[in-house]
Amino acid sequence: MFYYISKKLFVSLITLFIISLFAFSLMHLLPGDPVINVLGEGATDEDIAYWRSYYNLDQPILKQYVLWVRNFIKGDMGVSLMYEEDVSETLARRLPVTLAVGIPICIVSIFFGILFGVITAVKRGTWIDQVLTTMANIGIASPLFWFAIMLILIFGMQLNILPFRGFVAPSENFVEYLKSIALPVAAGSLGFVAVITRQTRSNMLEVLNQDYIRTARANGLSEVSILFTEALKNALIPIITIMGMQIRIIVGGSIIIEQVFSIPGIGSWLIRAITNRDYWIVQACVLVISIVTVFSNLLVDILYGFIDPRIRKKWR
Amino acid sequence: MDELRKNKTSAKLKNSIQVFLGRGLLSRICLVILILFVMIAIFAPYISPYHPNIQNLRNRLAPFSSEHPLGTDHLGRDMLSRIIYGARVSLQSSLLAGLFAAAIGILLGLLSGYYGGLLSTVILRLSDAHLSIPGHVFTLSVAAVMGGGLHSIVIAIGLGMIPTYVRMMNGLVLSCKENDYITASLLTGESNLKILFKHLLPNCFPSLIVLFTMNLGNGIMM
Repeated sequence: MFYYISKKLFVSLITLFIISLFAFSLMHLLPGDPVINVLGEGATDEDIAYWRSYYNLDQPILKQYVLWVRNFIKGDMGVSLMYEEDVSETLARRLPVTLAVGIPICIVSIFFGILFGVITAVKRGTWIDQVLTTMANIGIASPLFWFAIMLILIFGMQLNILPFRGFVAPSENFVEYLKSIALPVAAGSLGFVAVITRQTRSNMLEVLNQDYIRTARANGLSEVSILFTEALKNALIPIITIMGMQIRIIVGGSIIIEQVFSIPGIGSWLIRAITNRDYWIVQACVLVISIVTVFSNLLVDILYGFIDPRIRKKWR
Repeated sequence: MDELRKNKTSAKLKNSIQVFLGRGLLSRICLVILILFVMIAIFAPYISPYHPNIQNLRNRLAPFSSEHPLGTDHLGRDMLSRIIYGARVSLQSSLLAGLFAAAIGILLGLLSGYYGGLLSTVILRLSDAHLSIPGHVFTLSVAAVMGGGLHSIVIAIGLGMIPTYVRMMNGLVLSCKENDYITASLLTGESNLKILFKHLLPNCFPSLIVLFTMNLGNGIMM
């Protein structure tokens, strides 16, 4: 088990290294000087020289990378040129907001996805199956931003029952927090619920036809315990794989969600930084978002073993 | 000989069209819708009632009307015309991005699957790292660096799609490589280049076409 986890950790670190190279080279791919690009043509030579030495741009490129990584690990991600805000400070303020929306999206979509998947598999061919499968297909096909805008239109503006702008921290007021994330979570989890529902349904149908399920029935186990302890556990493996792949889609989708619902998280910050060409924020955001993604994938990999003893056996 | 080959190709084409049309009503409806959209994009200047950029500030944010079937935007531009012209840009950019990604991704996947070893490790690690960066984040940041314009959008979206092709192609080649006809062509002394592009690539096409069409949709959404 230790061997398996350390191997996976090693691979994740290599991945992070490559991503850091990408994030670092983003600014250097650009023709021209990044400082002049941000400050504009009218900047004084002193200003340019100051910022160039501040960001070590006068050093050789390899040393720049090493310094950048070292500062990043120390928690110094530079200063935004546009707003003169400390990047790591703002990041520390905005990352929890993104997670406070993203984690509920994961929980809600896994819960409902598996629930709907089991229901549609058990009630195959009935009207419940038809309705839920059609909904899942619509969920996969409809674009995220469109669904988000429709939710705002219906629940926020017509019915006026839920707030559709801004964000309340859970530590401030938990009920208000739940209200403020209700629409973003609904919008963000739709596609994810749909994908998990379809995957769970097909896996469950396959597993339910296996011999050991018939044996369990013949032994007189109750239908509920057959479903949730015998069948679901075996159907979960491919679902976890899908979950691992979807994490990056959720993280990427959070950009759209935060933009549409005006949530002050990393995603909306990244968009602002991109439109302002604030490279240091873009670099930091790309790296931090990728770190979150890589480590959630690592978590999914470890989760495999806890659900499937066959994989755990391979770990030794 | 050439005549024979020509006949064979035309028979193949005929056959595949027949198979496609035989797939039932749903696929025919989809085909009609797709052709309709492509036609709308091609003949945009003849179809759209207004020029997409003509502003009419007196008629801003107008609701549906017989003059403006889908209303107007915040600068008084006709929404229907803008959507029709927008279809051009969307279709063009997603098609070009898809082709760009397919060309690079398929080549890398072929090489990685066929040669294996260090080359494969490097290509697959790179594409894994690429897949760990969320798609929107990657595309947006590349587009930010490249600046505006159709070509930078095409490259940004295209670069984002490459790893999916690499992974799929790698897997397909790995399984195809074990087939007897590949061993046979190796034994007859065919060059690697010929095996790669004449035997392996055509056999991977069915799955690649599925991925390509799915990516076209994703490209439009980006």
